[in-house]
Amino acid sequence: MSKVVIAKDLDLGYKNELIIEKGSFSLNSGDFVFLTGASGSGKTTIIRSLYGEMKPKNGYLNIGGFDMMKISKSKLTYLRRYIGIVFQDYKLINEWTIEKNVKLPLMISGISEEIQNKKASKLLSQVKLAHRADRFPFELSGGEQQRAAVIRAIINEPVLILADEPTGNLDDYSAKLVMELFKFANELGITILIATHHLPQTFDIPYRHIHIEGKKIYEVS
Amino acid sequence: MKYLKSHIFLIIALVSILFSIETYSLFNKVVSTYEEKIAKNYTMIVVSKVPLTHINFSNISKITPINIDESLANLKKQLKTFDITKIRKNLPYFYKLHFKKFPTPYELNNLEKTLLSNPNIIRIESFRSNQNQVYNLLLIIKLVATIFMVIILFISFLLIVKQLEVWKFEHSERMYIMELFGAPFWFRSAILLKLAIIDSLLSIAIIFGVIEYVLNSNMYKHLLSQLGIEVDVNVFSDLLVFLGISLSISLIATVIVVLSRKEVS
Repeated sequence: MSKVVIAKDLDLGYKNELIIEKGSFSLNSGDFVFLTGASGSGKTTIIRSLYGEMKPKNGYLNIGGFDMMKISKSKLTYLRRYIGIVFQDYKLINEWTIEKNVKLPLMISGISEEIQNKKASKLLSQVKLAHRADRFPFELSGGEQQRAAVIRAIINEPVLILADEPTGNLDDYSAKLVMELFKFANELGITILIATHHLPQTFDIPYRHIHIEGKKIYEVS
Repeated sequence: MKYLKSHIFLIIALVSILFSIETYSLFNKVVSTYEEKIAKNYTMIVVSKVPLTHINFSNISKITPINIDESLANLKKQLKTFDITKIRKNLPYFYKLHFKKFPTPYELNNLEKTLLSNPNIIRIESFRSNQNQVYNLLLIIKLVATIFMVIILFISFLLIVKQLEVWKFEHSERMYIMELFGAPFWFRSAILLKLAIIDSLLSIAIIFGVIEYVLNSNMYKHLLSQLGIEVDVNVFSDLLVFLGISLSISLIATVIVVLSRKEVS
C-alpha cells in the first residue's frame, strides 16, 4: 500500500509554543482515519500542516511525494488540487450558488463545463441537495451546507480528504448523512482523515484511530 | 446598488485622476498655444553698426531688417532741408529678432549679454517688463494647474487605499477558499480583475461625458475666443491614454489585494 502521508518527529506550533512534539504517523492510500484529542490538543494544527497552511518547525512531513518542509508556493498550489478539505464552519463561498460551490475544484482543474455539471448534479442528487442547487449557502441549513462542503471535497476524487470537526455543528441526523458521504468517498479509494472530539458510536467500516495527548501522537488502533 | 457601494471609491478616484490629467493637459495646450501666439507677435529690436546676418542663439527663428525708408521719407516731408542720403549713410542698421517660442526671462538675459558683448551692437530693446509680466502670468497658470493635479492625485491615492481595504474585506474569504483548493493566482483574482476592468470602462465613460461637456461649453469657447486662440483636443486619442492609465491603476490595485492576503503562516 502506498503512503499518502509520512510524518516523522514532527514539531508543530505557533511562535515559541509547541503544540505537537516529535509526532510521527503515516496514512496509507485508502485509509479511513479518525484523529481524536481534547480541545486545543493540536488536531487542527495537524490538519493545517497537512494542507500546507502551516509549516512544521522541525521533522519530516511528506504528502503525496512532496516534502512539505521545502515545498514551493506553486507546487503547494498544485498539491492542493489533490487534497479535499472540509471545515467545521463549511467555508462555502457565500456569493456563489451551492452548485457553483460544489464545482469549484473542477473549475480550478479546468474540467469542461459539461462534465462539471454532470458530476455536480449526480452528487447533489445523491445527497438530496439537487433541489437546492441554485440556492445560496445562507439559504441552507447547517447540515445541508456541510453536505455541500463534503461534495465539494469529493467531486474531483482527490487522493486525500482532510476534515476538521466536520460534524461538530450538526445534529445527529445531519452528522450521520455527512459520515455516510465520507464512507462513500473512502469506497472510491480516497484516504480520509477526520479530526473529531469523539469517535462515532457506530461505524460499519474498518478505520484507524490516532489520538493526541500531551503533545504526542499515539496510534490507538 | 451593492456593486456601486463596493466600487464607488475606485470609480471616484479614477474619474478624479483622469479629470485632473485632462485638465492639466488642457491647461498646458491652452498655455502653449497662447505662448506660440505671443511668441509670433513678440520681437526684440537690435541696433548694429554693421549688417547682421546671424546671431548664435537657438531660440531665434529669423532676423528681419527694419525698413527705415518710410520714416526717413516722413522726416523729409517735415524738414525740407533734410538730406536723406547723408543721414542714411550715418545711420546704423536696425533689426527685429523673431523667436521660435516665447523666450523665458533667463533666455532673454543670456541673449542680451551675448548681444551686448558684441562691440558692433549699439543698442537693444527687449521690452522686458511687458514680456516678464506675460511670462509670469503663464507660469502662475501652469503652477496652479500642476498643484491642482497633485492635490487631486493625492486625494485619489487615499481613495484607492480605502477601496483596497474594502476589497480585502469583501474578497479575502473567497480567495482563501479558492487557494485551499489549489486555485492559481489568475483564478483567484479573476473576479476582481473583471470588476476592475468594468470600473475602468465606467470611469472612462464618465470622463468622456465630462470632457465633451466642457469642450462644448460656452464658457470654454468664450475663454478661447478671448485669448484669440484655437486649441485642438483629440478626445479619442486622450481616451486611449485614459484607458491605459485607469486599467493600470485598477489592475495594480487588484494585484495588491490578491497578493496581500496572508498565505502560509
